[in-house]
Amino acid sequence: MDPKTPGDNNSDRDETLIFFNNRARSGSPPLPALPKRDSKDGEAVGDGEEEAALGKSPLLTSHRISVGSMDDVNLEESPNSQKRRSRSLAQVPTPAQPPKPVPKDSFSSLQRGLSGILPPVKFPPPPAAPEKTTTTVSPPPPARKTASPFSWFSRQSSEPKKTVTSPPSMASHGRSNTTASLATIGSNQELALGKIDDVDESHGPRQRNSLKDRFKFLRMQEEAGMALVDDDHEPNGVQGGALAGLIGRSASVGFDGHAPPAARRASGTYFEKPMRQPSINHNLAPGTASGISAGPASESAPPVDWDLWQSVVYEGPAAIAMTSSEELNRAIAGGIPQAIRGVVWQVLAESKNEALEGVYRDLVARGTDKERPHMPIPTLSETSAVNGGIKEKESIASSASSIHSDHSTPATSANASVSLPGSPPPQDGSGPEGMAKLAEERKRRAKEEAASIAKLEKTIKRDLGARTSYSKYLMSAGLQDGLFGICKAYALYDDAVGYAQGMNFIAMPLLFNMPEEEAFTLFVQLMRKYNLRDLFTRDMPGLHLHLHQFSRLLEDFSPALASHLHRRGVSPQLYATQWFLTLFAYRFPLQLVLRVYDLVLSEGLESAVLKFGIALMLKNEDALMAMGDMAALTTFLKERLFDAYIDKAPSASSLLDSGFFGSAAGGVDKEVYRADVLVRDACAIKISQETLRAYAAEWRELNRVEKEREAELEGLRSSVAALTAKVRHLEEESERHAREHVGLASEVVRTKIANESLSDENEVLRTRVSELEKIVEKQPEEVESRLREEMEGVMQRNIVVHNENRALEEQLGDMERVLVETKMDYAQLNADHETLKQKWNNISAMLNSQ
Amino acid sequence: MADSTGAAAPKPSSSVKLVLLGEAAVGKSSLVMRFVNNDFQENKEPTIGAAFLTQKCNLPTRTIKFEIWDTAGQERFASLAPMYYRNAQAALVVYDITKASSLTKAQHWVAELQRQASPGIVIALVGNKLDLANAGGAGESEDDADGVPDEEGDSDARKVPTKTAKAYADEESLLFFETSAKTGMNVAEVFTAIANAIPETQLKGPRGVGGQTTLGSGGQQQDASRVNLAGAGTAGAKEGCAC
Repeated sequence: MDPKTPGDNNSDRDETLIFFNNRARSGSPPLPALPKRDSKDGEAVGDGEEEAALGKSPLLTSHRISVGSMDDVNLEESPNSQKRRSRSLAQVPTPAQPPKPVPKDSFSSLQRGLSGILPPVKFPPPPAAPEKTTTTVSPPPPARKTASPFSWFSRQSSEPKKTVTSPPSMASHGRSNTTASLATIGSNQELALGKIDDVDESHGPRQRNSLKDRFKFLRMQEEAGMALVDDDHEPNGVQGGALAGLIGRSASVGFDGHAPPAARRASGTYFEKPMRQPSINHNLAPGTASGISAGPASESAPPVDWDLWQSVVYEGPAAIAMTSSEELNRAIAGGIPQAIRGVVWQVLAESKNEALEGVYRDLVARGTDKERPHMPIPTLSETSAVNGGIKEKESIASSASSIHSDHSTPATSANASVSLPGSPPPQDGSGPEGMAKLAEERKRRAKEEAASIAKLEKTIKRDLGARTSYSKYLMSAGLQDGLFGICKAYALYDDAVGYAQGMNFIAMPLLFNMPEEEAFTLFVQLMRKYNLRDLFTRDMPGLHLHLHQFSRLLEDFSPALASHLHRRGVSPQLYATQWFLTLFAYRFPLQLVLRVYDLVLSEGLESAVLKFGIALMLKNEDALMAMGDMAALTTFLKERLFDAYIDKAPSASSLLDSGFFGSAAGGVDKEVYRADVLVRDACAIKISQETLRAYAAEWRELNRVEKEREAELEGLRSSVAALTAKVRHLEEESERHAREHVGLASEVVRTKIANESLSDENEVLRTRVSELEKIVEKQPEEVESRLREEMEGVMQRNIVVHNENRALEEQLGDMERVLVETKMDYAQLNADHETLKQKWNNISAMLNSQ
Repeated sequence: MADSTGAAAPKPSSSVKLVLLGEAAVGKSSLVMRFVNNDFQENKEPTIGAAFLTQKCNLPTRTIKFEIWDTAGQERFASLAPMYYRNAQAALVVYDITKASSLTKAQHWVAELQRQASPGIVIALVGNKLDLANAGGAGESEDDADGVPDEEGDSDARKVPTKTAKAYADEESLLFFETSAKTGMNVAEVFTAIANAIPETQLKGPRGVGGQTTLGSGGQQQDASRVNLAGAGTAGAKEGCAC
């Protein structure tokens, strides 16, 4: 989990180098080489050596093959060889001159010009000397050399370019340097600096090595080991490495011209001796089988075409373009020699990128205690588009180095301030408060990140452990941390993709062949340049595309098998998904997987994986056709497909070759596989780009149609939903209406019943009315008659009464006359009474008077 | 479990396509491995793409041959899932009882299945890693691979209460089990319950991918209701042993 510190790496590398060197020199006394080094004409010496090698090698081969003896020799010789190794390494990046094409005097001028450089060839460089060189040859900014945060940055600038993309110009440049002036050298700071650093850190030149250097090295060892060239050969190589490290072009010419006869013959002769070496790099069976099958190689295609590899390494992919595909295919089919496999892979992918390696180290450190010191260099991916990240950085870096002062150039810091919060702030433009804000922001983000990183780490860890088929192997090689680091760093590096299961499988074979930083850059390159990324982004469009291509190709190559599988419901999705997502690393034995990677990296991911897939299917066609059961088919397709390539009677040679796996892998790979046959089969599958493009277009079309169909379906579904809702609504409405209707109907019935009774009543009333009318009609007469009768009665009574009245009136008249008579009587009487009374009174008064 | 029981007279046998869904590292592959091989690996490698296995399940009246499609759990692989659950008659939606988020993911899967899969599909909700929850469960100390703190040896690492999941399962008419692929607890029961819950009308012959699709539509509505009834029944019945 903890990233290796550069120091650790250096020590690792040292061991490796020692080992290589030992191996290369094993079986031959190293000492004679030294004197020859002094010779200025390296090429001539080389020729001599080749001759010597040719002469001696047959005898020595058997000696070399014995591992035990080799080990012995190694032990004894290691100190010596280590010194040499470091020396030559220190030399490698110097802008030296190819010995051969340069006239002697110019060469000597070179020597003079690079006086600081040459001495280390002979002796381990005293620490003081390089310092002096620094001051005299070129005055690079002192800051450069210290481990400033920018060291990776500036360093990166020219190196990948010069090593990979344009070596020829480099070479010429180097030449002009030598003959011209120190100032020129000084102007190319990287060169000078590289030299200085290498000298300074001659024991740990890990990062400084260009791929070319390493290749040179490995090649030398391989060739030395293979052909058992006399020791003289090696000094040549070393010298070549020392002098021609930067002039790969001419060096390769040198080999072409002189060395190859020996080397080729040597390899042709001894190729059957399969075991080149059990190196720390896990040596597979590179090319042996094909060497056998091809017989003693023809001149044009040696079993291990070192020159081809060399030109590939020196010229980068351009060489591939120039090389006929035939030749390259043959070379790939023979397998990239294990020792240089890591280097060649990186060259093929153009992945070497020290800046990215720096980024890797920082990303790995993220979320751990070691993060602080590296804080100044957080991910670039956060600020720059993933795909543009590296390029942008390169441009920054190169701008920084083209202007000589490094960290103060506005270009650097202006750019850097975006992605590198720790860079000098003044140019930031926003002033202190801006910085404060930035810091605030950073703190907040850091906290959030810490949580997500912890989660990510947990997820990744869960997929490591003993969960993978190579795990034991991986653990035995101590690569678990590297695997974890790559997964984590990539997830952080490429937010949009993050960590996806399958990545770990892809990274594993890389780790077997190179240090983790380089594996990371190669991994990033696989993702970007090889479009692996499409397979891991959301919805995995690349995967679906490739699966479609595969199924179409399968139809083309074996219609019977395709329909057989189709009938049984075994779709490529089921078994081929893992091929694409892990580049066969999920289940396949490592022996085969490495070879798959060879082809993937040289030919491109799409066609390589498809070719292997088709080749495997065709190879197993009969077996698959014989199976009818889906379970059996799927199991076979996933687990046993590669069994067809088991070498049932492995030759002693291939056993030896795979011996490493047999032992170190803890029984993971029990079988020996004929990887060469697999690769040859795969290469024999011709898939034209047009076909692929056509199928891709077809897939896109299908996809589009599918999408449209889905959209349509979705539309229909939603409209169905809408209609359903409408129907439901209408149903409800109709129900309501029905209910209403029922109510109305019953009301009508009720009304009708009421009506009925009313009309009855009406009838009754009407009859009554008519009766009444009749009565009414009769009534007046009756009344009249009765009235008349009554009238008459009344009249009669009136008459009677009238008569009575008259009678009474008469009676009254009578009575009144009576009354008057009476009253007259009364008055008469009264007057009588009065007279009488007067008389009485007269009498009484007469009496009284009397 | 299957091979031991039914060697007798040939019972009607039919195959059932079953798909496993659920968040990464909840133990889908382990459940299958326990069911198919009665085996358990502490640190299984992640499934890439999907795996396919078969296993027979003997019921008193018939034999069910499960065609098990074990999918990759990582979110990224979700776009592959439809082709696996298409035409599936049963689905095992797995979550991790020690991880609350996994139940949420399981609910998403259930929703997707109900929306996209064949209508009569029998869905079982399975909470795995029961061994980590039971204080009395066996072998807890070994399981540090998934970040389960060792100190909590006998305390409960459970994050999803049985009740919560059960309530959800009832609501959606799912079969519900809590299992341990590690100890084997309840694993066979899950598959048996699913076998029982598959209505006979849906069963087809041992092989018939073509016919499978047409079978559905006619009696679907009715099937669906029947499934649900059966599901509820078995789920209820199982409670005795599960808790």
